[in-house]
Amino acid sequence: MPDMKEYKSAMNGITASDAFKERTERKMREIRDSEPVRKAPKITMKTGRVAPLAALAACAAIVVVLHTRLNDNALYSNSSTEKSADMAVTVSVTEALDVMEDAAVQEEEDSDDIAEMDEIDGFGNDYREEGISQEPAVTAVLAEETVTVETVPYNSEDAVNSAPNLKSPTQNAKGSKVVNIVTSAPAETQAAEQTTQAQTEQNADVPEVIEDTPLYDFEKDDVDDVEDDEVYAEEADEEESLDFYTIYDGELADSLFANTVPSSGAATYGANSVKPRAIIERDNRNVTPQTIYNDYLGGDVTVISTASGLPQTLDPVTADELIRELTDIGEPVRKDHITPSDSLYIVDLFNGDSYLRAYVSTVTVTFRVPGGSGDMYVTYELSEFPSIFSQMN
Amino acid sequence: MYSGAKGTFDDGYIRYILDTYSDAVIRLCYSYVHSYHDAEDIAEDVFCELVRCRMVFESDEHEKAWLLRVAVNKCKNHLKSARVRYTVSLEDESAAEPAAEGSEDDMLPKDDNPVVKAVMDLPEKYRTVIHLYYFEEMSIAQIAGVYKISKATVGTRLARGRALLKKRLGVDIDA
Repeated sequence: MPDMKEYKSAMNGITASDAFKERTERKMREIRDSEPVRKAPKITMKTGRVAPLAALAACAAIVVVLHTRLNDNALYSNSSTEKSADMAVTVSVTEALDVMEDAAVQEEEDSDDIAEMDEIDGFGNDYREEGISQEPAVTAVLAEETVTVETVPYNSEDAVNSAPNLKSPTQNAKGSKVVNIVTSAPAETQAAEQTTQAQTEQNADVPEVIEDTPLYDFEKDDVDDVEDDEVYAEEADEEESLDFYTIYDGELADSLFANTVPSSGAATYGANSVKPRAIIERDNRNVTPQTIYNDYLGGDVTVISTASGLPQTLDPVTADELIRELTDIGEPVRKDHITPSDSLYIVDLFNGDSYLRAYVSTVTVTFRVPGGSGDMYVTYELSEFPSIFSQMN
Repeated sequence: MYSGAKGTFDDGYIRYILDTYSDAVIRLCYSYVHSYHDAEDIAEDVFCELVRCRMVFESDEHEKAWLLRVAVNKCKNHLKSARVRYTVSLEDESAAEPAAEGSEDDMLPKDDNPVVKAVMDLPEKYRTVIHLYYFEEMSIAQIAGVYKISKATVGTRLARGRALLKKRLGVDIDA
């Protein structure tokens, strides 16, 4: 019976020759004597020291918790349930200490992660060989729920080139860096726009990114599921296509998407088109509302997937209405499911060729067109889809 | 175990590193690239990288894991390089010619051994885990440290590698 001893004895025959050792030793000495130290040795320190950032976060947490608790105490004082300020402070400090501990642990974990990456880089090799074997993940923070969705391939240039009778809307001198279209709107819509502009001025600050960490599990076991013959090809592709996307939480997404640049210009579209309110274009790709309409909304649109794990509160009738309103062509479409969150609905549309993600809030629907150099967002008034608007209110 | 100061990279430490780990690194590289000369070149790069980075290790185990990990990375880079992917080996072209007496080919594993051939024909990720586990006699935890993957993944690869060997040899492989 064959056993691994045969393999061991065979491999034992492979040894480093003296010539190899001498040659390598000479080179190592030369490098030692000539080259500067390329990288300081990594020392992983795990101490109980609270780093400055963690301390700052903990202090902020103490202030917030104390403030909240004192406010709670005031409310309690007005009610029949009396609660002393001492008790409130005691509880608050306890919670604050928990927050401090969590922050310290988190920072230590973060530093460990960074250290691990450094260590891998220290090999002089690409750490992405460690097994990233999937498309970049996207984290969407919706209310208090966190979902992970996968990005989908999309070739925006093909979409542009295939769009029939593409009309370029208002372009600036630099070539449609920002394109804004407004058609004549009814009085209610204008009033809504005025309100939105007021909100824009109020929310002048750009919302901060809540989450930009790609959720990739480096120790994920399913890397084994990759077929062996595809390993190197996939690794090569990953190095070239590695990219990360960021999605904002529902509330910030609403403000970001709804309060875009002020409207200007005008354009005429087909009878079945919907009226775009504003467009954010992150690069010079010539993607217009007409393109999106022709490629997605004017065709056979299918809702194929949404973020899972969130409560189903959108009834099927509404889902059908959403599809009908989005397509507006009366052709049969297929609905798998639509999953809403508290403040933002995520709907993935598929026209048989490309994917389009839509974020539906209570006032807007925003379509995200992914591309290699960044995403483009197009926002419409939800009043363009009256049945949905009434349902969500 | 080297008793001198490792961080200084003096001549003694360099010699110790080469004497201790040269064979293991070259064997691992050979299991990847199936060419002794390429394996030697890669191993040389590995040891030079050690000096460039002035790595200071916490233990001998850490030292070995680092060297093997760098060897794995460099082997992958080597196999992905255009020079390898688009080059026909002269050894393949002249396979029918007998090797010269006393050449390195004498020390290489012979393909007529069914176990060696079966192991060498395994997919890379199973082959190297099998090699480290059975030949280097490293534990699953140590292999996981080399590849920066979970122990469960190492176990899975080991089991699948064994299953493939059993399928190709027709019998179970005994350690």
